Amino acid sequence: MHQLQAPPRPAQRSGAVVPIALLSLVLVATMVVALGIGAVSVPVGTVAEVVLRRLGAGIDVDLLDDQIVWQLRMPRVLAAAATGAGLAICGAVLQSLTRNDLADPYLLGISGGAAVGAVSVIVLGVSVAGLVSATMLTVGAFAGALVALALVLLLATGRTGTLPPGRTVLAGVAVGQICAAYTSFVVIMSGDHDAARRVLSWTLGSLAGVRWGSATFLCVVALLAVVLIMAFASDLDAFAFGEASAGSLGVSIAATRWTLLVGTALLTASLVAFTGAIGFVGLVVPHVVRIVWGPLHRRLLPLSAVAGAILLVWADTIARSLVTGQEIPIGVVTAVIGAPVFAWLLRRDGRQA
Amino acid sequence: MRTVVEGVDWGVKDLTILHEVSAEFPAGSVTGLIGPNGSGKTSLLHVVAGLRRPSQGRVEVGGEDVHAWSARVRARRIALLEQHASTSLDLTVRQVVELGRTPHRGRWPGRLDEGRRQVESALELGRVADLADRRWQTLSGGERQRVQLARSLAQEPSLLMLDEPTNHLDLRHQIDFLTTVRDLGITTIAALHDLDLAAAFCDRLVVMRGGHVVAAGPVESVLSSALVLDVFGVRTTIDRHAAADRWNVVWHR
Repeated sequence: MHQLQAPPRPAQRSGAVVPIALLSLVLVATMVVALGIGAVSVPVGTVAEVVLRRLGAGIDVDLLDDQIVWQLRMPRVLAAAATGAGLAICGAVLQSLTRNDLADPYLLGISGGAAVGAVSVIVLGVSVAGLVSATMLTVGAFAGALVALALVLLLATGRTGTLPPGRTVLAGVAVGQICAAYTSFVVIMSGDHDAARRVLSWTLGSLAGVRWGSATFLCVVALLAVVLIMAFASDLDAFAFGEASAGSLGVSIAATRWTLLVGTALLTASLVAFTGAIGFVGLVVPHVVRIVWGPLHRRLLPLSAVAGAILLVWADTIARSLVTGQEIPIGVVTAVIGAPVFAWLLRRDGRQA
Repeated sequence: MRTVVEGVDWGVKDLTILHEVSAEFPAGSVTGLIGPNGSGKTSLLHVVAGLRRPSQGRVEVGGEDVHAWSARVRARRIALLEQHASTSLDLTVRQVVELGRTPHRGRWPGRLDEGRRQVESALELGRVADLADRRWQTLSGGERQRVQLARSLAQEPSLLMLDEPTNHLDLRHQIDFLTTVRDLGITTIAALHDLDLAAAFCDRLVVMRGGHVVAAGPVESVLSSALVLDVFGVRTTIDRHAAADRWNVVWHR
């Protein structure tokens, strides 16, 4: 990491392709290694054989290895990568849009709303006929997130239809607080210890329940989001010197804000509904990427996505394998990995400036 | 490009800030927009730059209605330099100037060398080529303002709007900055506080008070001590300074 110290960073002027390709290789390697780690460890070579066979290569593999690697671990690893990528780009976009370093995907009251939905399902047993309880949890969390988003937009929108970031953030905080109050109230009043534990573990995030169906959904959502959001890379760059400046550079400020705020909120809601609120990824990853590769979005957005994916695959691997027979909430792991790295990078950046 | 403002009204909610403002800015001229704080200079700049839509009247640049253009088309023709541009991002000077290419670029990230020639020439014209690899955060106020000028020039505008561009600059940088702007030969409208600088560097003046234009025309026919006393409430002596060969505004009690 010593090359970071050279003050004018000539690397920033070159393209985005090389760092993205390199970091993507790291992601693939991470995923292969992660697939081998767990209660039963599978050698990297065997992991590669299982994956290649499933992708159509004519290789003979042990059925048990196939079961472990492809059926049990692969959905979780893919879901972790997709969630990490999605949360990280949401964080990057929101930080640029609000020009606030503390912005993260849950800024707009999304996780609070999702928690309200989740708690209603877990504690109050809200259900819809025909849905199994795991699906109901996802549906409830997503619905809660959407309601919170609608409330935030309602509170923040001016009479002329503008959506000022400052007011949007405050509305998000207000809605988040109301949601937190509801969640605590319901959990305390129910007096059900098992429900309280399930709510707590939901709010810290977990990928334990992810199967192929939801993993596929998450991957499609994340890939789509990364591709679509790249269309806003140069618009987001133009916000560097504030809104009037972006406007004078030809960016339609109102349209860009609406699209991106609502888009990132929907993306976050989709992720949170499956995984619970996983903190720190959306906050930390974009900052780290900015420090290493600079703030321009044509690099920041894709690199944040890949870096977020790498972080969350490792975090989930640790969450499921550190203590045998016990899942550690993934949010605890992301905080434990993320916070010290973040603090260290901030300090070294402070020394350079 | 010749710019004409015709009967423009603009306000926020019930408060009218610009009242039937009309003014003409000939092609290639440098016009100083002067007037006390709150007289509507910045509002007028924003309306002419197309950022605010007037409730009445129209703004024409090169014979076309500015408010009929899309934001991107507008940004290829009009550049606006704000009072005090700031960012917390760690950008290099070249990256800041490249932002000026935004309206010329496609939506999807394309070739990196798009507009390289224009960026290089903007760096030259803004006289910041030697700073190209420096980081924005390490620049002085005077350097930052020249870099913002270069960013505006990378837009290849035919109308340049400056909002109090010399605030925060020391005397030397004020003179250097306005000399650079004059030498560009682009139609320029600059809100200026310093009457002496305005008189020295502008071809024409538009004087505003309370959202109205109270005088407009060539510097020598507009600027008088009677007008300054009327608009600013300050006694002045205005004459042609022989040694400096320019208009000179001296205030006294």
